[in-house]
Amino acid sequence: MSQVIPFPSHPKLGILTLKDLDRIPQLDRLSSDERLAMRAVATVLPFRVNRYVIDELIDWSRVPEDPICQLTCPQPGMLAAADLARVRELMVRDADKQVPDSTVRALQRSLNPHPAGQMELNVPRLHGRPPSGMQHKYRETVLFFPGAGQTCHTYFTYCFRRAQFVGIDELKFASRQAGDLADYLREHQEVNGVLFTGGDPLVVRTQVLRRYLEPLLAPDLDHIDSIRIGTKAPAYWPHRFVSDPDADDLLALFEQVRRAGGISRSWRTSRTRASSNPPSRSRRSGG
Amino acid sequence: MLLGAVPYYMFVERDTGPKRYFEVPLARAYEIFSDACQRVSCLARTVRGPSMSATPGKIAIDGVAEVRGEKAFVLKVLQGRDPAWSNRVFFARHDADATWLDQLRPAFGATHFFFDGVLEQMKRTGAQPAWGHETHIRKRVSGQGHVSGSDRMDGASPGLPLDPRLDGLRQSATVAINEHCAALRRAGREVYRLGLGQSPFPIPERVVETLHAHAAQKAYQPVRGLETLREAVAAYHARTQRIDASPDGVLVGPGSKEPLFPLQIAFDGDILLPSPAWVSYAPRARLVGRHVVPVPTSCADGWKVTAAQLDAVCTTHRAPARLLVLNSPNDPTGLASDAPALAALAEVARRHGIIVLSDEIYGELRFDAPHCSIATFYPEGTIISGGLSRWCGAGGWARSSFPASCAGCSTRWRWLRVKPTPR
Repeated sequence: MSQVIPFPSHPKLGILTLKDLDRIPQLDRLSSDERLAMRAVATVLPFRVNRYVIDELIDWSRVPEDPICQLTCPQPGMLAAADLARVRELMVRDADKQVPDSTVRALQRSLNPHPAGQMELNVPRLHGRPPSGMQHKYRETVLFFPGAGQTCHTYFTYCFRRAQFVGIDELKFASRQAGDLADYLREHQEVNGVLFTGGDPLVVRTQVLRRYLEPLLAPDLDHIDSIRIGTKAPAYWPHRFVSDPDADDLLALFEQVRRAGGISRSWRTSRTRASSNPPSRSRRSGG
Repeated sequence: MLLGAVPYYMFVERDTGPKRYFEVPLARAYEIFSDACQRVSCLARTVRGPSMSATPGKIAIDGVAEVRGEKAFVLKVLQGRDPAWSNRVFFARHDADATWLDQLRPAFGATHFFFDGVLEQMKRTGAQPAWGHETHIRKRVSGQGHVSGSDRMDGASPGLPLDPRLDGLRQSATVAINEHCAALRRAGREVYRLGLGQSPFPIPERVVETLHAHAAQKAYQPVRGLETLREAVAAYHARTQRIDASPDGVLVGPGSKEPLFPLQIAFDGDILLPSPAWVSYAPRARLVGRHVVPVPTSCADGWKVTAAQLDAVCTTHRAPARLLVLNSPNDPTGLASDAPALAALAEVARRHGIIVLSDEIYGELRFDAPHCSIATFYPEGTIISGGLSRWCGAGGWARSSFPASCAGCSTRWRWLRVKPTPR
C-alpha cells in the first residue's frame, strides 16, 4: 500500500522581495548589521523568494551555510567589498534606506549583465529587424523569452540572466509577439528545437503559455521536433503542477503537445542541491 | 536522478553577476565533477561538464593531461556557434587559478584557439557562420594538428596552403573605403573621403629636394637607420617630451606599420588593445599569432583608455607579458590624452609591469594643446612610434622611429628583450 504523503497547505505563491525583508520572521535571527548587508546586496542583485522556499526549503538552523539559503538569499560577499560598503553608506544616509538609481545601475552594468557576447552575437534578424525576445546562438536551437515570463518564482543568487529583472529595458530580452517566433522558425529550417526561457516560462498563466506553444504545432513547422521549457518550478514552486488554479490546464496543455505527435517536450530544470526536492511535494508533482 | 530526470550539464559559474563569490578554479571544478561521477549510478553519467557557457559555445573541461612534460587542460566544445566545432577537442595551458575560458592560453606552442579567428570576424561583421545550407567552411589541418576553417575563395588554387592565421582576415576597412572611393571617382561621382588618414597638403619642399638630391644613392645603409637621423630623432624627443632617449634606442623604418610587425613577432605576450582602435592593430596582432585583449572605452570617458579600465583589464586578464597599444592623438576619435591621464596610465602600467607601445603618429597635428607622450611618465617601459606621414604629408616614404629608453638594453633589438615582471 503506498504511503499517504501529507500535503502542507501553501496554495498561495506568497512572493517576498526587498521591500518585505523586515516582514520575514525567519530573518529576525540575523543581526541588524547582517540584515543591512543583505538589503544592500538585494538593492543591486534583485531578491525574490516565495513562502514555500522560506518555510520549507531553507534549513534556518544552518543559515547562512544552508545551500538553499546561499542560492536564494543575498550574501555580503556577492558584491565587491568596496561596492558593498558604498551601497551601505548610501542606505544609512537615507531615511528610507534608498540608494540612487544611478549608483545601482552603474553597479549592475559593471557586473557583465550580458555575458558570452549575447547582445552582439546572439540577436537574430527577421525581415530586417531583430524579432522580439529571441536569441539564436546555436544552429539547431532558438531561445525564446516570452514577455510574461520574465520573472521567476524565486531568483537564484547565481542567476546569469539577471538583465531580465533589473528593469533596464535595453538590457532585457522579452517577446510580446508570439507570431514572431513562428515566422522566424518558418524561415529557419535548420532549427529543430525551441527553448523557452526567461525568467521562468512557467510563471506564465497556462492560458498565455498556450498562445506561444500552440502555433508551434502547425504542419509547416514540422522541422521543430523538440520544445524545451527551462524552469525551476518543479523544485521551487511545485504547486504549479498540482494545486495552482490552472495546474490541471497546464498538464492538459502538455498532453495536447504530446498528442500532436512528432514533438518531444522536456523540462530543463536546474538542480543545485538534492534537498531542494523534499519528498512530500516532489512525488506529487510527478515529472 | 530524482523524478526520473536525466542529468544534463554541470555548469561552471558564468562570468556575470556575483561570479567572484561563486567561482572556483576550473581545475577544482574538474576535480569536483570527476569525484561526483565516481559516486553516482552509471545511469547518471549522461551528465556533461564541467561546462562553461562561453562566447564560442559550451566548453567543457574534459580532463588534464601531460604531454612531453607540459601540463594542459583538455577542453571540448560540447556545442559551438559553428556546428562544425561540436565535439572538437583542444588544449589550454594548465592554470591552477583560472576560473573562466578567457583566462586560459593555448597549449603546446599554439598561439590562438581554433575558434578565435572566426569569432573575431563574427564580432566585426555581425555575420553568423553559414547555417542551414551548404557549408562554405573549408577545414584544413595545420602542421600542429589544429583544424581551422575559412571561407572558400572561388577560383583559389587548391594547391596553395595558407597559414591558418590568415583565416577570417579581410581587407583593411579603411583601405577598402579608399579603393571604393577611388572607383566612384573614376565613375564620375563626387566623393568627400573621410575614411583614410591621408594628409591633403604637399610635402615640404625642403624634404622633397633632399630626397631628390639623394635619389641615386643605392648602397645599403645601417639597418637601424642613419646615425645622424637617429641622433636627430633622439634629440627631437628630448626637446619636445623631455625624454632621455639614446640614438642607440632609435629604430628607423619605412613607415610606422612595418616596424610594428617585427615588434609584435618578437614580443612574446598578449596585446592589450583599446576598443575602438585603428582597424589594423588587431589583424596584425593576429597575423603574428598574438592574443588580443580588448580594453573597453566609453563615450563618457571620451573614448580614452582610463587608468581604472586598464587596471581592471590587467587584474582580470593575467599573462606573463602584456603590451598595451596606446594611440594618442587617436585614430579614429581624433582625441588626445593629456598629462594627468597619461601619468595615471603610466602608474598602472608600471604596477602591472606592462610595456606600452605609444603610437604618436598624429602627435604633431595637435592644435588645442602641446602633444604629450606617456613616455614622459613611463620612460623605462614605453616604445614610441612616430613618423612623417601625417604631419609632413609624406605618406608612403615616411620614416618612423621607435625610441625606447628601456634600461639594461644592449643591442639594436634591446628594447625587445625587456621582460616585465609578471603580475
